[in-house]
Amino acid sequence: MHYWRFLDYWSEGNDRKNLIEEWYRNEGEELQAAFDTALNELAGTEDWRDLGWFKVLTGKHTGLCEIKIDIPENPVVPGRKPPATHYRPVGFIKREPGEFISGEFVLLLGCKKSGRSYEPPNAFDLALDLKRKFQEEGRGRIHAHSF
Amino acid sequence: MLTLSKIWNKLRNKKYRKAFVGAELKRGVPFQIRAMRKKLGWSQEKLALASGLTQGVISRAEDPNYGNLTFNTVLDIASGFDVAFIGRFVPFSELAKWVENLSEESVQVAAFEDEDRAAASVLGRIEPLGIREKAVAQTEEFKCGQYQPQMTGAASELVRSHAAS
Repeated sequence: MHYWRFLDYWSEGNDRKNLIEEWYRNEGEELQAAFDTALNELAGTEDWRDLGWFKVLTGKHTGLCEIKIDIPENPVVPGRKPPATHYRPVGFIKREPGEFISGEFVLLLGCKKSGRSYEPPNAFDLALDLKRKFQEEGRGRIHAHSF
Repeated sequence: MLTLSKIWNKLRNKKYRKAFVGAELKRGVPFQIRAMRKKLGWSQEKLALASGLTQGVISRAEDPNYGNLTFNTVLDIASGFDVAFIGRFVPFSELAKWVENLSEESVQVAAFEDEDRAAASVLGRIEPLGIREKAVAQTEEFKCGQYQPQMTGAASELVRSHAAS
């Protein structure tokens, strides 16, 4: 049973883009498989509130959520958390604020995290801008997650 | 979410196949541990106690990004839930079906005690009375396809083999 449905945001205009798909295609198979698996698990999880790998952002980026996906680097040392590359797909819940039990999640874009810096560096500002344009100005479209 | 056709198309890429198996193992086991614990209404502390582990180990075992879960820890947790854990090689079609139907509900597993109770309710009709005729009659029912224990899976097989012996 799937409790959640995922949607992809498409920007408007001549350069109509699905940024989350572009990010996905530009990364390797390790990230692609982990991302697909993570979305599948989220879809089958009714309540996301205490999932350690799903985070509701606060402060400057309130309204956005990130999915934490870490790809461990080899070699793995037994008993220790291995160093990893941190990926952060970003989006928002298409419901009233504070609702985390079933619903729809809009995927905006993805980024890579290293320490306190992100690649692209303005990923969260851009994501917030896309969300605002969509929700307040009706710019852009959302379609069922398709890749 | 991940439909069979979508998964299968992606699995045609060998590199993706390998990565997907890794992702399913590394993320899937933590997903199931959390889902089973939640269903039981257990805290991480309670599962830790049942498993002979610390809460910190359970927390890491439920973290799909931890990436270093050991078989020994999984076996201890299996013991805590009183269920089996089998690691085995399977065809991709089996993995794809598992993934397509994945949810918190689909990964629930009955504990041995629950299975045993179900088994005993059927086996008990034969054993305690010690009436040979009754056992023979029940075995005959089984052979004729009329004997239908109300259980599924391994417990059902256990009863069948007992009745047949």
